[in-house]
Amino acid sequence: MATWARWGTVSVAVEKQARPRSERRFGTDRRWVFSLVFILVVELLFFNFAVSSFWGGGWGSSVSMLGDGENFLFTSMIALGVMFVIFAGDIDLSVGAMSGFAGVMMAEFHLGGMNIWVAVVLAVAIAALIGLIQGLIITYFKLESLLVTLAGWFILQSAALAWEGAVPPYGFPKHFDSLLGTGTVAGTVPNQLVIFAILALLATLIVHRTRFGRQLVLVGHNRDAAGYAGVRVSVTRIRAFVLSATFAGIAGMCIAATYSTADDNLGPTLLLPAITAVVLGGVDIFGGAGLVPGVIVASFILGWLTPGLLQDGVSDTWASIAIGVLLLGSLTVKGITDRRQGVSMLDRLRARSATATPGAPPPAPDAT
Amino acid sequence: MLHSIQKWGIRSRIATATGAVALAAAGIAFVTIGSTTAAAKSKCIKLALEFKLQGLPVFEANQKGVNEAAKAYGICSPVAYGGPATASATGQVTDIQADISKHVNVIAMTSDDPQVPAAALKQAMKAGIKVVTFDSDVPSARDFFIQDTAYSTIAQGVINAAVKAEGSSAEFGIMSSTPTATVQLAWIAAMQSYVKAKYPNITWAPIGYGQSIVATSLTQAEAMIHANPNIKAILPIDGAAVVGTAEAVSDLSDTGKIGVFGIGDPEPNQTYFANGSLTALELWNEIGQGELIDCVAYEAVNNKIHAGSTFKCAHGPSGGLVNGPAKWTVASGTNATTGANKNTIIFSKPLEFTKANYLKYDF
Repeated sequence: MATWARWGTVSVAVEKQARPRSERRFGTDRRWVFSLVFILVVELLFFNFAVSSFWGGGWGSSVSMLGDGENFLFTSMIALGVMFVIFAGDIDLSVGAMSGFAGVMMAEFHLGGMNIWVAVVLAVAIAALIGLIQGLIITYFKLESLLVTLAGWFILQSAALAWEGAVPPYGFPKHFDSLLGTGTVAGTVPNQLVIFAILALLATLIVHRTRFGRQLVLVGHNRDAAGYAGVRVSVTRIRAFVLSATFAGIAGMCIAATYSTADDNLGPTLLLPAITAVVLGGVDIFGGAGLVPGVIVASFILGWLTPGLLQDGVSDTWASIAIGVLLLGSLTVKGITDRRQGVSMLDRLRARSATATPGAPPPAPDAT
Repeated sequence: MLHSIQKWGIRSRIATATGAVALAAAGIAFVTIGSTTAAAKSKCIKLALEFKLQGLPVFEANQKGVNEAAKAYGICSPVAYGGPATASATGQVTDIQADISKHVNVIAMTSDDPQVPAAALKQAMKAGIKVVTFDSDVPSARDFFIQDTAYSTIAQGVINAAVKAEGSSAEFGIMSSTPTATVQLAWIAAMQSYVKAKYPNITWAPIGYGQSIVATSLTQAEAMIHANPNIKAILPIDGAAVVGTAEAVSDLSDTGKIGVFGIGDPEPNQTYFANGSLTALELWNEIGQGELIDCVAYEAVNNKIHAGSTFKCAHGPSGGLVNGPAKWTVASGTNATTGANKNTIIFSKPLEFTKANYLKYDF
């Protein structure tokens, strides 16, 4: 409890005097995380009774529903990455294609004779570099991140397709497939869960415990105010894009290891589920508010929902509808409770359009 | 801290709780809807059908065939239509894992990717489930593969139809789906080698890729027509490419100047057969193929077939199997001409659809 409270006070310290609402805003965020935990518990309890293979061969067994996290944990990793960008008030539509491209890159490096681990490090580094380039284009030319990363999606997916040729690369060393893909620690904890836990902890610390994290949230909350307060807005945004691309690259390695193949179209289908997890997790789609633990819990809610419903005999179509209903229903509830606390989506929209209105005070000189 | 707790009014607490309960209720409602259709009798063979995606007429025709013959082969019916809402190999893996946990006896699937589902299918085979792939194979992880038709035969069918109409010294162009689509690649190779051997005066325009999207296929086909003014025939070899190409030819009022000969199903293309922009399509009988899936599932579960054996579908499929042979052979090795490899069953000779017969088929 104490930790949560501390995040609250620190994250809003910059403008506490001017905006007492922020205090309340943070209260609603934290409450949302508790609501999500509650939903997750209800979901798992329900599947525990409804799905006979819920425990299967025990925790960690890929036959058990509880253990088959390897089908969604890489989506959760992509969600953590794109979350940084959303916190800053931007969006990164290239993350799905980025993970596919990174996988193809790694596979082609490896099949070209490179050691697999060198290939992994190089592929993730190049992904980060592409994120940096996208961030530079967006901030330097003052372009909408939506458009730049949409273009990035097309370019990356087509580049992956061109590179892989007629036969997508497959067949990696067993130790690679096991370590980043389907292996477990001592037969119980899936390796991917450990990787995800490390990334999740890292993301939580970055957003809620570092100066960069504070600035990231402030930039998303009010870009101009952040500029006046001396935050290097462009640098902060660019860093978010680098983080997003890096997480997508790591997810790409896990995807390649899980399926022992890399393919241009393995990544892009994960984009919308990832953004869904971020939004359900309570991060404001316009930036500036939310808690990382919410995103983590939301990604588990969504990740288990589809396999759980399928294993209970529901068809794919109905499972997709269930996800839509869950998202719509929970965001409506969140909207209602947020409004009671005095922070509404409409306020956020107004604040956003206000910053773009001509005649508003000129933004502070950017330190980039 | 205390401050914010006090702010959390009792009303919003109730709202949150109500919301959570409503969501749980919605979840239960969904499960109930699904469970009623999934209820199965214990004695029959539990067959799980997994398609590339939902809502394609060819797969619906497959499913129709599967359901028509299910009873004859002791398969629990109705057989549900499985498959992701949009083509996604990872979505298929989730479905396969659900099938494993539901303890089905046979998984019959047409795969979105030749590699991705392999691990999940191997897991299924380890759990004692027979895996039958059809249409698009996962070569490393299945018991049997039902190949639609011999690659050489269908390729020759398309080329012969085009040559008959446009002559043997003309420029042809192929419209495919994606550059990695396994079956399309095999057909292209078969067409090119047949032309090389039999009609050396035919030249090829660069291959167009419509990405299995009608709009993209249309753009690509128009680009092909503009870039190659002497083109005589376009050969679309994927469902979306057929529609896009025929639409491009009618849009540019090139009907009569450029012929369209492809691989695809007749029902979505009735307009183009009627207006003359589409001359001929080759495919197999999708309903009959669905019936063969039942038969192979039955034979596989009872361990009656293996590499090299021949079998008859004893109960006699009810209506389909046009052009189907009287008995089938399970290939024991690789055959370069037909494209078959070990444990492949070639379904049938292609069926040709033209202006004369297209109204007879509803897929």
